[in-house]
Amino acid sequence: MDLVRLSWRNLWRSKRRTLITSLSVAGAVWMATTFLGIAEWAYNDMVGKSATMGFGHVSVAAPGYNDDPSISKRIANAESMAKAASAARGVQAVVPRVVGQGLFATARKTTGGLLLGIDPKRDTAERNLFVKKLEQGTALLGKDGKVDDGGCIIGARMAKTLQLELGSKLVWTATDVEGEIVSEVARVRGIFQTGVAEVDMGTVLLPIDKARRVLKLGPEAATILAVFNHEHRASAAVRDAVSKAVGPGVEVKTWQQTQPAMASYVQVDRASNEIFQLLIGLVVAAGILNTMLMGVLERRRELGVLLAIGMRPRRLFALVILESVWVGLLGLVLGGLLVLPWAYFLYSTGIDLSGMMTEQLEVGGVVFDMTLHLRLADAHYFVIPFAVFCLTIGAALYPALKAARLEPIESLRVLD
Amino acid sequence: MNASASPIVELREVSRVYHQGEFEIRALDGLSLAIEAGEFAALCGPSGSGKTTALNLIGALDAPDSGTITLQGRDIGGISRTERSELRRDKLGFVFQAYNLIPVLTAFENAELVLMLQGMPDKERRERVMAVLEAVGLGELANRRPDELSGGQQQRVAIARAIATRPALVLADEPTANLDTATAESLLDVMEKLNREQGVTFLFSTHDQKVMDRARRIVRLRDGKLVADERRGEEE
Repeated sequence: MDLVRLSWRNLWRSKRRTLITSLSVAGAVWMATTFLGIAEWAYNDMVGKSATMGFGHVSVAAPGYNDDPSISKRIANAESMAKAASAARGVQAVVPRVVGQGLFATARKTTGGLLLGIDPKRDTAERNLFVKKLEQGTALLGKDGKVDDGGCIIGARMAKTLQLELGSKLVWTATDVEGEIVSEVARVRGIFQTGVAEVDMGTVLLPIDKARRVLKLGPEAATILAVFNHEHRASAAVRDAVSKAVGPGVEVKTWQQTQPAMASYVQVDRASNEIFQLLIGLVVAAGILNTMLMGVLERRRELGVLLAIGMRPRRLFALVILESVWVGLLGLVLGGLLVLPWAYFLYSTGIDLSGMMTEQLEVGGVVFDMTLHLRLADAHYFVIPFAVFCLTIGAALYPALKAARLEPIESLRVLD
Repeated sequence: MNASASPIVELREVSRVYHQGEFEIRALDGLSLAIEAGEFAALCGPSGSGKTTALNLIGALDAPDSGTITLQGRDIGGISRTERSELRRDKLGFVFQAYNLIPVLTAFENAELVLMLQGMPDKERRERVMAVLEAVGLGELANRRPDELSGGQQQRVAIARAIATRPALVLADEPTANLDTATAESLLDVMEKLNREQGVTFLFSTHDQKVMDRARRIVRLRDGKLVADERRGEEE
């Protein structure tokens, strides 16, 4: 009969109490998984959307471009650099883009906005939010798979304002790298709607090769390399790997550096969520402490017997801690059973809150998806069980110390 | 067994004073006593005479205010809590009035508990425990939990637990107090047999005449002092 088995059996002396305490731990696991998972999904969704709108999770640009964007600050050998960056550890995809300012006109109206040169073959729906949000038309690729060099994609609001539809002509005007004003005509091949008014009003996508030619950037040039990795948390490590792969002469930045407002939002929201989880943890810890303390006080005589027959105080301490660890493990298992179907539901179906919202929620130029899903970061699979483990041990310290400090002679006087 | 061997435990001028508010209770007052290997001895006296206090001091469950207690030649007066635990584990066996078995453990597991604390290997431990359970007549009931055993059977398990480690001395505090006459006699038979056949040394604290009738040495206490020390038995 070792301590592990003895502690397990002790656990079942008060089945109801053990189950209630374990269920409270399970509840904490469920809450932590739900809140951390939904928040993680939201951060990933926001950062992912932002990444697919321009900069990627990690961006490579010419020095000074991020502080003062201009097409003259370009990467001349962007294609070979993209190839090098693709081989860096953690990189899923690298997409060269030309980002500049332009004027967009029809016979009736003119508006200004962002000109985005994309490679339709690489800027797929997965990598490009505008392509993903296409409501009409196609993504600058013909049926034969060839790039539609004379096409463009515009936002729904611009289409409405400029009275454009698929097939309409749009004149776009920009300043090339030599400072000359250049103009081209493009036909509208696609219309997207992101939900963000400014974006839908002022963004035009062109084939990158067309933009390179017209703006005299060079055949392999881009103003930015948008690098994608599997999750937003890993961006710092990917930045370092990419930086090493592409070498000096360019600036490699994470989304936190290129999107500081969004990074701050994520940081503050994450901190408040963690404080909330800590408070829940403290409430659960109080429950465990109560259970363990009652267990020790009710068994004073028996624990005194163990000391009297020769159990060392530190072993008795370990016995009580082990009992608490069992409660924690049981809570983790019950929590896991509770969480699995719930997490699957959130992951696959989600909770649609759009009916509750009168206006869409926008953070850092990205529309928040009102169907909540769940996504756990790799770290959560370790952090949540570890937190439960610390919680159960921390909560048992006082009862365990009390048990270890019992004087057998006094404990033996306690009546059953 | 021969009672003329060197003392297992020796008390010299031992005093223990308890304080209850303003009152001072002198539970033991200069007690000197030696218990030798193989003895089957009883500390007797009325309530408050100091017999349980003496047993607690000998069992390293308490420490004296003055005087010295030596167990197998080692002064146990000033040793640490952990050392006292180890001493109780390795040198002493305890039988309590209320049996004090661990309710979640079977008879076998209760009996093996101290051996487990000693770190005895599994195989040796199992053999030892089965042997002691057989010795106390409980070989068939090894897998029963305390609540499935009668009072007498529970006390036999307690004896098995106490003797499993082959201690220098078994201290039994009123072991028959909760048992009916027949069960108490049967239990005393077991302890007497262990004493005679295996040389287990027993020291009882009792005011049960049945125990006193069986004991080969009666140490009488009154007001914490030794008033009589009578030896009897086959050696006389």
